[in-house]
Amino acid sequence: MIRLLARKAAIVLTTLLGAVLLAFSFVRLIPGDPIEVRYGDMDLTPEQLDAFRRDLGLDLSLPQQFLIYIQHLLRGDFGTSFTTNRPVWEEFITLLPATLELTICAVIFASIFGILLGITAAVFRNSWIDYGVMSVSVTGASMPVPWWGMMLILLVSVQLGLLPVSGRLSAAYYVESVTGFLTIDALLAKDYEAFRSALRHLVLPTIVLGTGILAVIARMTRSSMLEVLGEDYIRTAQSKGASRARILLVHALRNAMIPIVTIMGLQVGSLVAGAILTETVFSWPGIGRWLVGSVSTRDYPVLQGGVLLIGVMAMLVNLGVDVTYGLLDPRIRSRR
Amino acid sequence: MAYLDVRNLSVSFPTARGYARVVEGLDLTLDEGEILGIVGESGSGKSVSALAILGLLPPDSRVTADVMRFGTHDLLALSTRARRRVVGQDMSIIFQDPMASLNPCFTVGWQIDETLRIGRMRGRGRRRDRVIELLQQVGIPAPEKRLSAYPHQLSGGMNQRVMIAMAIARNPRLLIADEPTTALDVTVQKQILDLLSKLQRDTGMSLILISHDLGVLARTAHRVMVMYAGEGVEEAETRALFTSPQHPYTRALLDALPEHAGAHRRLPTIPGLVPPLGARPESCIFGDRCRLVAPICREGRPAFESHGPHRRVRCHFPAHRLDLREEAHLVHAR
Repeated sequence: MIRLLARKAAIVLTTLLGAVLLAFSFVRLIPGDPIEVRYGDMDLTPEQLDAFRRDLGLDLSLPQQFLIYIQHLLRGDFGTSFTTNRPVWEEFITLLPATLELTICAVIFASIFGILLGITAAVFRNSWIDYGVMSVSVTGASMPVPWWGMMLILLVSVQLGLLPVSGRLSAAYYVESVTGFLTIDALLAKDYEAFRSALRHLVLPTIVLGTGILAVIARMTRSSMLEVLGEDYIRTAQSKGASRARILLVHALRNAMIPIVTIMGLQVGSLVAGAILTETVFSWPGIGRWLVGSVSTRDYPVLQGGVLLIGVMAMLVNLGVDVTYGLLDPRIRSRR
Repeated sequence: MAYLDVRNLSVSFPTARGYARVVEGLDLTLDEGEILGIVGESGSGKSVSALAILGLLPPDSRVTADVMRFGTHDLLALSTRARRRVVGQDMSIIFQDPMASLNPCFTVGWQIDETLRIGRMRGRGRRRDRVIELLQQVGIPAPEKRLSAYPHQLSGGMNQRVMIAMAIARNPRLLIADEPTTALDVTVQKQILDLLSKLQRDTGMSLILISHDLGVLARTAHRVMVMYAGEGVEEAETRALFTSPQHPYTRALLDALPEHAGAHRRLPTIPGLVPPLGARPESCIFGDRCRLVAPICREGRPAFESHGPHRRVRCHFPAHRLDLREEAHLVHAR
């Protein structure tokens, strides 16, 4: 057990170190450094620019800079943003709830509809319902987020005027931040108008971010259900006189969930990528937009810290997936 | 009148080249409290027939019959919903592989309890008592502790006992045991068979015991139906079947039993193969492998004819009328 944990920890640390190294070197490959981007059009002498660089430690060699960065990390210091002069960790924590609120909604949306569609396709396999669901699913999985987002905005918000175009909350409302989740905060403040506004702002980004995983979940649910429905214990349940709904939702789905949860865990990476694009399209003030902004200002600490923290989050999700296996399948539980 | 009465049962499954008959013209009757054994090799249609009676075949299969009556229920006329109520309430089944037949995600206690819940038994505590009683009845030691066990934590024999507990939970009038001991160790096989016989005696239910092992049926069944390639070929009371088999196939099966072959001798086998699905002849289905085959056997299928009480044979030349064959040859020679 201890050896297993140690091995897992070693893997996690190496992966994170690799992520930091990649982030560190890739941002420095982008032409132009933070100083040029910031002061480039201000008629400063090269000496003055070098002085700014010295302030930020950018005059040191890359290995030196990297070692210093790692040293700081080990002390729990993610550095300070070049542009805002605020600690990276603080900015991250302030923006995180917005991204979490969006991704959680997207995952819930994708799971509910993905699993329902997958079950439907499995039950009516090889009928036009099945083919319909599966072709919609292929289309959904291959839809580029920016295009899909803009089309929805054009149709639903601009043409039909049904939902807001961008942002998290209409400017008419102010909600005291407690959890950072606007919907929850609005409810806590008993401001139902603001809650409604926050929900309305969530709808389109949720759909856009959720579509890709919804499609993947639907396909996985279908094939997993088809496999499980052929098992002997399904026949046993039928021989007990169990209703069709009971067989599908209790006996089959529970067994079919393991591959579905696995695929959901694997989708976290694409969810982060999708969140970055979705937040940009909808001006959603979260981690994604923060990172995209920091690329154009060459805000090295923000980019490095952001990538690292997202990596940590992805690993936590995978840990959660491992735990869920045990909850779903008693055979895995007792193997531990 | 027989308690279970099935006449002219046929089952076909869709294949790439149209529907293939798996069971053809099978007649089955069963009295209350009787044990009927069905024997036949793999693919002879024994399990499919059982599943057809219970209505558990996949929806794309075709099941037809002239009569399918169980007690007062006309199974052919029942709606899917009503059929589901009869299955589980009055008739139940246990399968070959107990490990695969129990849902791995739920405790055995939960799964037996579910059967009672589907049967509308009220009261969590009452149901729990009943589950424990059932586990005791099927000989599972320390039942209270087993309630929270998962199938993978129990042995194959224990799981089959759990399956039996589940099957008898609602006091069915008919239990079908489809190769209940095939997946188990030899030592456990006898225990399970003894348990089934005992439960049958105690409750007076009817039992259909399906097996490919004549030895298993010899010990347990009152009456045996021999199936070959989807048809019944001989039916007789157990003792009569073993002492004077009438159909050449039954004869060959008995000859192939190790205890009949004697020591240090090769076991006799039946030459040839079962005709594959889709290539089953219109004439006698055993004709190609039969040592008695005569020209008349190639002209249409022999009927499943009655030869005395509880004895039917599908053959032109049953053992007690071998003289008929001599005549047939003489006629042919002339």
